[in-house]
Order: sequence, then structure tokens, then C-alpha cells
Amino acid sequence: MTNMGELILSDFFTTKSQANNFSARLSAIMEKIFELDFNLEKNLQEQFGNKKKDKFISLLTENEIPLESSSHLNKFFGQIQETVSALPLASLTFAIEPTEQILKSVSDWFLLNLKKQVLIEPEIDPSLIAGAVVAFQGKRLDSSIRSVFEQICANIFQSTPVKQ
Amino acid sequence: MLMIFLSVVIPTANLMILLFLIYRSWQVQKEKKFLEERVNELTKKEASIDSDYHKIIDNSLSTERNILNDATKEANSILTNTQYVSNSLKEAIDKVLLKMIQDAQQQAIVSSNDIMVKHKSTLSQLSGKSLENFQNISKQFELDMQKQMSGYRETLLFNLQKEIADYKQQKIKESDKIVNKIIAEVAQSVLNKSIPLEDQQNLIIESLEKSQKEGIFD
Repeated sequence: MTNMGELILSDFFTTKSQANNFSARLSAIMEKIFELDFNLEKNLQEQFGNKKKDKFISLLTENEIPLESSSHLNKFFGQIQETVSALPLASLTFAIEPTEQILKSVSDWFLLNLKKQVLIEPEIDPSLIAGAVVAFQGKRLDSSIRSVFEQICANIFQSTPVKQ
Repeated sequence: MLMIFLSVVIPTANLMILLFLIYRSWQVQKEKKFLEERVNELTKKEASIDSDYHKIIDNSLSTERNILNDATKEANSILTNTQYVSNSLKEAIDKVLLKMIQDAQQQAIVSSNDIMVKHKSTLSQLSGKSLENFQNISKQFELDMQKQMSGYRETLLFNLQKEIADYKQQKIKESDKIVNKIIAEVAQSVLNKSIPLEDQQNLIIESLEKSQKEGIFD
């Protein structure tokens, strides 16, 4: 049986809004799963597109889910829904609008370093210049270029003697 | 018959009318005569009245002239008397006034001498006192000023210097903030656009690594 902790869904979504969207589409498929003329591939393609459909089929295969068994599929989809709702959330403030590539690299970094998928809740603040402000489970760190820049400026002003 | 009647009546009527006209003419003549007599009478009366009127006017004028002459005589007499009285009164008053002026002058000379003497003595006394008072006041004023100056140096000046220093520091901090803000805004608008996407991505990953080191994900 599939271990829930090992379910990696970062190929399908990286942000909280994407996860919600994924969950809603999966629910739509689950509603049709016991229909007589249910076609899994067709439904996956309709909801996620061709590329993600293939990835989904691969996920099912990796987890040894029989594609023709509606009950197995339904159970696995339910597990996915539970996994999605249980994913931890990290709020990241970027200086620019993050591209899909940036979001994926951040998501991969979490997988690699924290050994788990973390949903990103992105925010944008151009005054950060570059870098990010990271907030996770009540803790927060501003390691943007703005904070470095402000520190440098403060040091310059402090070290410059003011004529009395 | 009718012709006979008419031949009798018409001449008779004519005769009667003629008689009536003669009678009226006689009456008119009579009245005219009477009226002429009345006119004559009235003319006579008017002449008499006119003569009386002139007589009365002449008398009145004569009386008026007499009255005026008497009045003029009387007035002249009064004026002569009055002039005499006023001349004698004037002489008396002049004499009295002259006496009064002489007395007043005498009195003024005496009084002014007294006043001068008194004033002189008072002035000399006062000048002595004033000089002394002035010296005392200026001395006191100098002492007060010295006290105030030392008080000013000790408290006010010190506080003022402290306030100025604080104000200076506050202004320096404010200007630092403003400069910082300006630099940050300039840097943001310049660097934000000039940093390549790859560098942005690397800096984000660096932020994550730094956060991990700081224990944000623990």
C-alpha cells in the first residue's frame, strides 16, 4: 500500500492557490469515478492537461494503483486530498513576480532540504530589491537585499562623524 | 256780427295800450328825477367826507411830529446824563484796579522770593538724596544682573545647549532616514530591474538557506 508520507505532488502544484485548484479538479474527477462510462485518462486530460495527465498516470503506476479499479482509484484520490490538506505552508515575499521556474526551484529546495513538500504562499514587495522574506509556522526572517542594504547604509551613517 | 265786434274791440284795445305806455313813461321820468337828486346829495356828502379825512390826517401828522420832537429831546437828555455817570464810574474802577495791580505785584514779589528760597533748599536736599538713591539702585541692579547672569549660565544655558544637541541629533537621525529612504528607492528602481532572473532565483534560494540556518524551519 502506498505510504502517504512519500507522496510527492510538487509536479502538480507548488503554491497554495495551485494546490486548491488541483484539489478542486481532483474532486470533480472523483464525482465521476463510479460512472459506467468513466474514462480516467479522458478525465485527467480534461482537468489537468496532457502533460500533467501523463505525470498523474506515472504517479498511479508508481504507487501500484490499478487504473481500471474505480474503488482503488477513489481511495488513492482521497489519500491525495488528505495529503494536500496536510501540507505545511510557507509564506515567501519576493521582490519580483515569481516565475514557475522560481516557484519550482523553491519547492524543490524544500523537498531536498526539509525532506517534505511545502506549499508556498507568495507575496510581492518590490522594495525588497532581491532575495526573500521567509515566514514559516510563526517564525519570520527578512534576508532580502533590502535588509542588507539598510544595514550597510546604517553602518555608513554611524561611522561618518557629524560636524558639531 | 263778428266784424262789428272786432271793429269795436280792436280800437279800444289799442287805445288802452297807448294809455298804459303813456302812464309808464311818466313814471320813468319821475323815477329818473328822483335818482338824479339822490346822486347830487351823495356827491355833496362825499366831498364833505373827503374834506374831513384830510383834516384828520393833517392833525395826526402834526401830533406825530410833536411826539417825535419830544422823544428826541428826552433821549438826548438821558444820553447826556448816562455819559456823565459812566465817565465817573470808569474813573473809579480804574483807580481800584490800579490799586489792586500794585498790591498784587507787591505780593507776588514777596511770594516768589519765598518760593525761590524754599525751592532752592528743597532742590539741594533732593539732589543729595537722589544721587544717593541712584547709587544704591544701580548697585542693586548690578547685583541682580550678576545673579541672573550666573543663574542663566548655570541652568538656562546648560539646558539650552542640551536641547540644541538633542535637536541636532534628532535632525541628523531624520535626515539619515530620509537619505536612506531615497537611496533605497533609487536602488529599488535601478537594481530591481537590472538584476537578472537567475540571480533573483539564486538570491531567493540563499534567503531560504539563511532562514534554515537561523532555525526558521525547525
